[in-house]
Amino acid sequence: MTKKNKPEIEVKDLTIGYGKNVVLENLNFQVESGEIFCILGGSGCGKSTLLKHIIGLYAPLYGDILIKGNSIVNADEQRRRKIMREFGVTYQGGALFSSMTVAENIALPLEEYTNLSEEEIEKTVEEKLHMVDLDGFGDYMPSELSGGMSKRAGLARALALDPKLLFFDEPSAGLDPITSAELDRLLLRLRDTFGATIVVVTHELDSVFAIANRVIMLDKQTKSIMAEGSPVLLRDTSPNEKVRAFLNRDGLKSDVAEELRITEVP
Amino acid sequence: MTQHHDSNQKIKLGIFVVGGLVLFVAILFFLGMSDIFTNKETVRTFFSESVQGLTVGSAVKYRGVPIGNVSKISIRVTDKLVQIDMAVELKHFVSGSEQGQQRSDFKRFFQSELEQGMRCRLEYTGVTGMRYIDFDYFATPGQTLTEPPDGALDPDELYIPAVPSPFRDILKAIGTSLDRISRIRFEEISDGLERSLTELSGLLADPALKSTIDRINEAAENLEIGSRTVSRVFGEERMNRLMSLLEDDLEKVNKLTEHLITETQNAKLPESTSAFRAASNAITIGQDELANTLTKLNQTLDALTELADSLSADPSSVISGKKKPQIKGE
Amino acid sequence: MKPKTEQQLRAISRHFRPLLQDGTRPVEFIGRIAAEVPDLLRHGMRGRDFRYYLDLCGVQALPIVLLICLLMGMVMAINGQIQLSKFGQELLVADAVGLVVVKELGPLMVALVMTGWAGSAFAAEIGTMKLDEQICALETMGIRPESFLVFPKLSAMLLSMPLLTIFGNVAGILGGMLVGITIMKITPVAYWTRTLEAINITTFVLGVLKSFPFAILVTFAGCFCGFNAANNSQGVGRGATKAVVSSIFLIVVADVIITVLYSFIGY
Repeated sequence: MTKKNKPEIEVKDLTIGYGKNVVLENLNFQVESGEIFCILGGSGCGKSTLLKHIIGLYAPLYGDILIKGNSIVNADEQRRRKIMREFGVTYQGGALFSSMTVAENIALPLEEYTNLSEEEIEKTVEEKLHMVDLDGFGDYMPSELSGGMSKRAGLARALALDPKLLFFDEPSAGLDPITSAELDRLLLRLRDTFGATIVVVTHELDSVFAIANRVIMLDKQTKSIMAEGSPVLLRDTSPNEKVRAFLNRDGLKSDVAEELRITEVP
Repeated sequence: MTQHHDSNQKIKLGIFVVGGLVLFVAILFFLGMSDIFTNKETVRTFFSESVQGLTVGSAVKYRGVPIGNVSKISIRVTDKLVQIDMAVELKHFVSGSEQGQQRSDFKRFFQSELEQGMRCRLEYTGVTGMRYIDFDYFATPGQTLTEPPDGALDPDELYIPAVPSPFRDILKAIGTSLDRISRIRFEEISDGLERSLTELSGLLADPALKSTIDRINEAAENLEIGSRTVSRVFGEERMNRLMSLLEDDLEKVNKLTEHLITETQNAKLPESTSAFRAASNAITIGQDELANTLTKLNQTLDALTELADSLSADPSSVISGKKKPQIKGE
Repeated sequence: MKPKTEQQLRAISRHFRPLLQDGTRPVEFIGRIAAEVPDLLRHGMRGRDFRYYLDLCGVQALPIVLLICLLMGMVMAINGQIQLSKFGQELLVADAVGLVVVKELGPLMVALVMTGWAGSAFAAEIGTMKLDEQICALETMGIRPESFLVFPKLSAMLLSMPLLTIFGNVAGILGGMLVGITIMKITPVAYWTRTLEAINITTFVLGVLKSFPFAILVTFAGCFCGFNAANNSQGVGRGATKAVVSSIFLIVVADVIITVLYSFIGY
């Protein structure tokens, strides 16, 4: 992986939370261009909250977030919206607008921000649907789609403006392993064919090991980053036992199995 | 499928919006936009009295049939007359001829009605004090039409003279009575007296003369009381003018009496009996005439007092007309 | 002594702060939407959304509006007949029903029906969109959710409410007429003439004009409660309830103010 001088995302001394409840503090990390970057952590450690701060939905308590060198924290509303248009976000449930068809959902950003003709928009929509393997589903209403299809349609919408930076909130949550694996392949394809930088919030270890170039692990207790680096390396060599335990789900499983065996045998 | 659904929805929306707007326009039309399309004729009149209780929109009736509304009320600065414009709807007048002729038919009808004595006047609608304008035969047929005030009328506008309202009638009656009182020829009477007195010079030891003087005095007193009553009842300026006239006469009578007394004191004896008799007769006639007039004046004043009292006690009797006060006197 | 007072003051301020925030939030909400008006004028809005809401708040609400106004007209006529027959003035029922419907009841009933029909729907819809992260999605697409979601609703309501009020007025008068003809044996022509005599254009137009502020209030209350609903399904439900209750309150208050204002110009 080639490292460029300027990171896609730079998080500096970030402290986030609601009111006086600090969720995470003093976060410092960077996302390099062209990598798949995973934010890991147990439930309730603030992964999704962190993501919403990075994409500019919430204002941090302290610190700064730079996207392609532009601070999304200190930008005024106009500028923030401009920064936002440069990336695509796929939400947990797809977040498709329920009053519009899938095609209309994908066309919305195109209608709002480009001067494309109706035909061109239609063509782009078909192209995006093809990208996420949803050919022919354009006229479906979101309610008619399954969970995986909704997520893919959401991805297609996030891709509508051809962003080079993509965010995923729990892409594989609630999906069966096969659909989940398909989604992983899709992400890899996006990275490899389009050179996209992808930030994924997840706790699905299978996909983490399958796609992530680098991960950060958040800790609920210390409210900070527990570990940062390649997932495989961390699993095998992290000095932190918690990290290894998290990433070695198998090990945990065997422990449990052992315990079960002990209680079962006598 | 969506295409079909789309056009279906649009048709429904179209029906809804267009239906609502059509309804809106229809209601506006029913509520009076129709005014624009109805045939109307403006009739103008002038009132010198107060039009208290009349507003724009007040009804205009022809012998009780509503035929239109008051469309404008204004005051002419030049003569303080209240100018009333009435919009008369022609649809209330049915004629055998065609639509287009309605207007000229109405004008002809209106003109002939005026000649037969149709006038307009203010009437009370009820006990609320609101008024309407009534067209009816308030004048005798063939009576000459009063001319509208100068420059008050456009060429094609119709004019109907106004007659005073019933209340106004009463006030006018009082006014006439007082006018008539003022026209009593005290001067002539006193002139006559004086003339007789000159002829009588020297014949005044007669006791009849003494009684004449007394009666004149009495009459003067009566007049004074009467004039006081009148000025108590009516504070109007016109009355005051009248009173001063009366007082002038009184003064003359007093002067005359004084003159008579001095003449009597300086009198020589009568020269001829016949001359004396004639003079004495003249005095008696003059004195009777005066007494007569004064009795009448007294009666009139009594009637006026009574009317004024009843008016102040029960003004509504005038409005409702249930208890019409009779004017005695003249 | 001093720390205690301070503590008490803090406790009091803790109680009042949410109230204060509650007070400023709607103002801020309105400000945000107002700030977007120039943008709306430049870009226009999505015709499809507008048509959807016009259909929802106009066409689909029409039957219930007609029915309720018709019944209200009938109820009023029956009650009026009971009172006025004492004076032998049954014909005045036409005046009473016509005037009350056109002046007050028509606009008010339509507003109340629309509160339940549209206001709660707006709140629930926006609340669910928030729950489903659709609002976040809009925002990260660089679209302002407030204006994007409120304008189509607002313009649809501003068009449909006056129209519904006109329909409702007619239905109310027809309800009264129905009672007049069947129970009081007044002829339709007599009833119609009395009604036209009782109402004039100004009364009618001023009544319909009332529905514009009502439309704005219903839409704003609905959308505001939706945007501020808690992020769970109960929150969405409560948001819808709140929308209905607050917009009924606002409508009644607005009605009072409008009536006072109208009284200044003599109506």
